Amino acid sequence: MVMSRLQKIPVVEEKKGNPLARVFDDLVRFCRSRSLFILHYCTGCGAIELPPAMTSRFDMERLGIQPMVSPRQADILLITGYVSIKTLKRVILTYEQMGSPKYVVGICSCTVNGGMYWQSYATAKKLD
Amino acid sequence: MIFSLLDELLIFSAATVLVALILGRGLAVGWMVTILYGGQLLVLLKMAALGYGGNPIASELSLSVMGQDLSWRFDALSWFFALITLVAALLTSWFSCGEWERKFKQQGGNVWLFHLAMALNVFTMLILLASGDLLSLFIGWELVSWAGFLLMAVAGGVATNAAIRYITYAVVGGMSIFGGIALVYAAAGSLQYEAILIAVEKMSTGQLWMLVLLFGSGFGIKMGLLPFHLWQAAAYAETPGPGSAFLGAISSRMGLFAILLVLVKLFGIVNIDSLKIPFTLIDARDLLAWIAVFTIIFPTYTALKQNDARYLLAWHGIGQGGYMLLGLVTANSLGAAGGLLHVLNYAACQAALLMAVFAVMHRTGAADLNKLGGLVTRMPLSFLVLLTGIIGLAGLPPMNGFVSKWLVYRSLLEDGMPLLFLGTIIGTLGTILSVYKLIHNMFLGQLRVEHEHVREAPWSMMTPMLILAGVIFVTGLLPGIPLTWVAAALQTIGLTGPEITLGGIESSSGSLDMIWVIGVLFAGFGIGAVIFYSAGPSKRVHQLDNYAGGHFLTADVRYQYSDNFYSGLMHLIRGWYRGSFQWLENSITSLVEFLSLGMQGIYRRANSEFYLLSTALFIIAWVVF
Amino acid sequence: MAPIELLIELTLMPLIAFIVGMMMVLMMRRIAAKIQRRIGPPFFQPLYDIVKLHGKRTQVSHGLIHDIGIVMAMGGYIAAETLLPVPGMNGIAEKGGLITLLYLMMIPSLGLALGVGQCANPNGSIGIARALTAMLAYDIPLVIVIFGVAYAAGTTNLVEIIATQQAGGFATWGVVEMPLLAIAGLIAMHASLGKQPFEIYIAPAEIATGPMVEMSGKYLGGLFVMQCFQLYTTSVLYVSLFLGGGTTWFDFLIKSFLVLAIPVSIAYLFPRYRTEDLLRLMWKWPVMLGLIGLAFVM
Repeated sequence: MVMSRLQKIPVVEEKKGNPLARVFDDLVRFCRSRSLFILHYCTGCGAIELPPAMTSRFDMERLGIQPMVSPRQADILLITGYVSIKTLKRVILTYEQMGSPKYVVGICSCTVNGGMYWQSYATAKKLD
Repeated sequence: MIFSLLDELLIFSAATVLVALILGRGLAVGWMVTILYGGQLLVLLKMAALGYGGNPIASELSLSVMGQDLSWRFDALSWFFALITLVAALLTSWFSCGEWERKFKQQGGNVWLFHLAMALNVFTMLILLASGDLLSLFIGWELVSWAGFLLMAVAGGVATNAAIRYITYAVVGGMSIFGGIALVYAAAGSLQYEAILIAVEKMSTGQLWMLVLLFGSGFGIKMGLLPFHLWQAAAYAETPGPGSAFLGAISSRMGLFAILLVLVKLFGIVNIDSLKIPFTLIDARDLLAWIAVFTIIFPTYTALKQNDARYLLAWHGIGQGGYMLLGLVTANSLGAAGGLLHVLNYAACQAALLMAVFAVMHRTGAADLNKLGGLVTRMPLSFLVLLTGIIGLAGLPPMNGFVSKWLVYRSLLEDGMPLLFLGTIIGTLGTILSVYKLIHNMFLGQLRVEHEHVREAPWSMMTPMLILAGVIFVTGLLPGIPLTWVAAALQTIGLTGPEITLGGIESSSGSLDMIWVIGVLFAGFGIGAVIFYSAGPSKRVHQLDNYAGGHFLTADVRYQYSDNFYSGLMHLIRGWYRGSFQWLENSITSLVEFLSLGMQGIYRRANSEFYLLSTALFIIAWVVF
Repeated sequence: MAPIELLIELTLMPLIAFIVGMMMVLMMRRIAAKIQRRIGPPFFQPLYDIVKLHGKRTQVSHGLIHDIGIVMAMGGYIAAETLLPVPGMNGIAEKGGLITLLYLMMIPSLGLALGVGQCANPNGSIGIARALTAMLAYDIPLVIVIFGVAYAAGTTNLVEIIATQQAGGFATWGVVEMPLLAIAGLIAMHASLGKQPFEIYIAPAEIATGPMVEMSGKYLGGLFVMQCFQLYTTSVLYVSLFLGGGTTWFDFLIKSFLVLAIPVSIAYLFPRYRTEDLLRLMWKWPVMLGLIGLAFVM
């Protein structure tokens, strides 16, 4: 799997003087890193990377990664393929429906620089 | 002459009818009648000693018609039923006051006739409940039938057709009861209960069978027992709002009262038990029990198919009657108590449910389940009442329906009747399915654009609904209170009640304490709420901000699942609805029509030779045999 | 019993149920992984999921009933655990009995159904309609089984049912005395768990996980908690009815996990039935087995 770009979301520091609250926040943050629910928005061939990741070759469940079905449940939005102007609306809607903290991962070159579709007038060359 | 309390009650009730009759076109008649119902209830509460095993109260009035003594009296059983009747009347009449009345008048309804019919219904029901012998029972019975017809026909239109269908059934039932009374009179020489009790012991099996069939079908028609249930749903559903709630709550239970009085008290469960059906393993009591179970199952699953909230509830009303009869037919202490308690519990639930449905209808003008949805944000209190009602009707804790159904289940378990038990559970599951459909399609799901500005029902409607919801919860929390009345009522018909505690019953083979169950349930909810609400605040989103596979939702597109609810289930069982009873009714109707046509033809022809011939044949036949 | 003692029991019973339930979820996921030749999630994975979901910063609510539904779903099971006797603790099992427990277990489903209804998502509504249909399917054999056991024991009191089985030893266990009912009960229990081939109401590929479609953050977390309780309740109820409960925590837990392992191992070998096929299947085989078993008991 090529994780070409991981969006950097600034982690909001909760301002709590209570040391217990700090421990609690750390616990939640630790759990968050161990339990990642992904939602795949498959528009192209990039999705082919997902089955090996899920199945016995790499087994992403041992890292706490699970595929989810609806944006409400997911933490990470995987965009696996080129994004056209029309699909972009859907991507944004889906992203809006996810609960924060949320992350977007663009998979394969198509999402990052248009890939083999870079000449097309309809594709967004860079998802950012 | 000094009036007894019963006389006071009946006079009060008659006065209510008079007030409705004379002042009915004046202002605020609804409030006046409601207050008078309250007065009747107060008189009834003065007789509360009856509910705790007090002596029966007789009326000072007694008549003698053709050598037959007519008398009226109240015992614990009558008191129990009268209590339900009057509370139902008070609350439904309260519901009708004010805004509902105004709207009813605007739509061309006759408010005067409505209040008169309600008052007449209450009065005749009290007369029926007070009957002291078979003749006064029959008189009360006929009065109740006709008063019911009046109330059903008030709305006109479809309602009239339904009411005429009802009265056809009721007349047939009345005739069958009359036949039964004639048979009893021939056997006992009197219509007094004491004389009949003695005569029953000497009756032959054939006579007793005949009586059980005649009385059973006569009273069963009013109760909507299979196969006489077809009239009920439409007749009750089409009655104007509060009337529908009143009829739905108590009217059919008059049939149960009469069955209790005649079949259980006079004939005795033991005698009925000894009536075997030849060549089969079942006896008359099993037959009744099976009729009760089929009365639970078939109407309940017919309700599942309904798309009109009123019809759905009315069909359930028929089904719930089966639980009462089943409990009473098992006749052990648990079952009988459960059956009788269910009369009260069901009345509270059904009245609350129908009121909630009519409140929604009042505001939105629709009772069609495919034309509503999402109203919980607009009518939260009505939702609460409906929720309380459906939990009670489906018989889940913590509401009262659970207690009575639990008692019925336990009695079947103790008697070792697995198939009847299974039947009741199938009925309960069907109830759960259809009441969820009711609440989902009305209050949950997507709010329609045209209901954006709907307001909560007015307080004149809301107050009685909330009181009923309170009754449903309190009798569920403390079933010991109504169970005491039930135990007293059971004693008057020769059955014994279970050992009662405040929170339920005490039994060697598993007891029930609702205070604990509900306490723990709410503690559980509390812990759940603590876990839930400690996890940070949540953000309220609009109903159109919703997952649709990445599609944008707009207000003009309905995003709601309501039609053909339970499509998977229906896919399997659709073919099982054959409408056999409808077919049966139609074939009987056509048969009667055909016969009457034939008779008419013979009469019209005025063929004297034919008359002569047939008369001669009759005479010869009479002489020969 | 002293009130303090009772209070401690009432607190401990749901707590233990939750912890054991999480281990059951872990077992379920590990079994699934093993069947698919994977390694599976780490030991604390169920806990990570629940904590993370409750710690999400945006919690999307569709209204008050949505919230209350989740509270009812959790609370109903928390209450049900106190009616389910475990070794050394009876809670208030004697005040309710088997039928009450059976009905109390419907409260969470009802709560969930209300919450999902408020979400105004047809996928969720279809899911609930299917879930209730599934309940109609598996409750009929389940009720036959419960009737058989209660009739054979002569009581609906779970404490006594367990005590009778323990007093007579292995030969009086429900599974030995009523093997047909035990089999029917196992099938009904499998369906009540909602796992493949009976997961008609989750159906991720068809109706987008049905009831859970609009659940985010703590809402989904509440449902994860509910799942822990559900697994625990179902398997412990089966153990109490047919495997003589537990004399010690050791054999009690072994029995519960083993019982649960049977349907879970079968589950991941199958795809999904259609709704009407589920109904047909549940109303045919387990009901038939149950009725024959009942005839032996009566």
